[in-house]
Amino acid sequence: MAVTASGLYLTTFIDILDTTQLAIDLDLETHKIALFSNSITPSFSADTAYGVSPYNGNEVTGTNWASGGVAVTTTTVTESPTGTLMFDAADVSVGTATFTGARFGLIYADALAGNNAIVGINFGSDYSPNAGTFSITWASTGVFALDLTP
Amino acid sequence: MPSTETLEKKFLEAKEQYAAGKLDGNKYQKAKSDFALARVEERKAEEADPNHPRGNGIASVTEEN
Repeated sequence: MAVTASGLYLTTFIDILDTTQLAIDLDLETHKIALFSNSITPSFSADTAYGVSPYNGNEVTGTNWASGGVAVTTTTVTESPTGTLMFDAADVSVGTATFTGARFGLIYADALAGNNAIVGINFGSDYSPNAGTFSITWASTGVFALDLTP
Repeated sequence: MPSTETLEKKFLEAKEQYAAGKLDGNKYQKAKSDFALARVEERKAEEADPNHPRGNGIASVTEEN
């Protein structure tokens, strides 16, 4: 049981593109990122949502980081670079935060009743700020980028 | 060329107006694209700085206690 990778959730993206027509709007300012410990084992093929296994336990919370996480803001879905779909957002930064053992971040659609999982990020190490500033600094390629013209 | 901060402000205003049905979709997409591209360029410059925590191809996570 461990976090080993980052990825997009296949179930969600299939539901967006097939007859389900799941209404994920990546431009919304309401998506959230929740934190989990290394006790979970994400499956990007099988996992579906925040609040559903394995995201129904082992959530990391604490001072200034409540259950459910914080909003991911200033979101954009654009073409960058040419031929590539990029989802980007403002860096996450929370001051005076205290929690223990954050290894994984789950971005999910908080505005949808299903809390559908969008993307999971493996932090690579456990983070345990003690009244400190916890930051997730996205790469210039955004939160994720899909090359649609390989 | 407007600063990234200015473009961000214009984009967020456009986002609100578009959501309220008060802005044409093409104008919203233009404001979004202008800001998004400026943000990418700013972040590329930060990635080139070895002292900046900006991730290179991945997210970078830090804690400062």
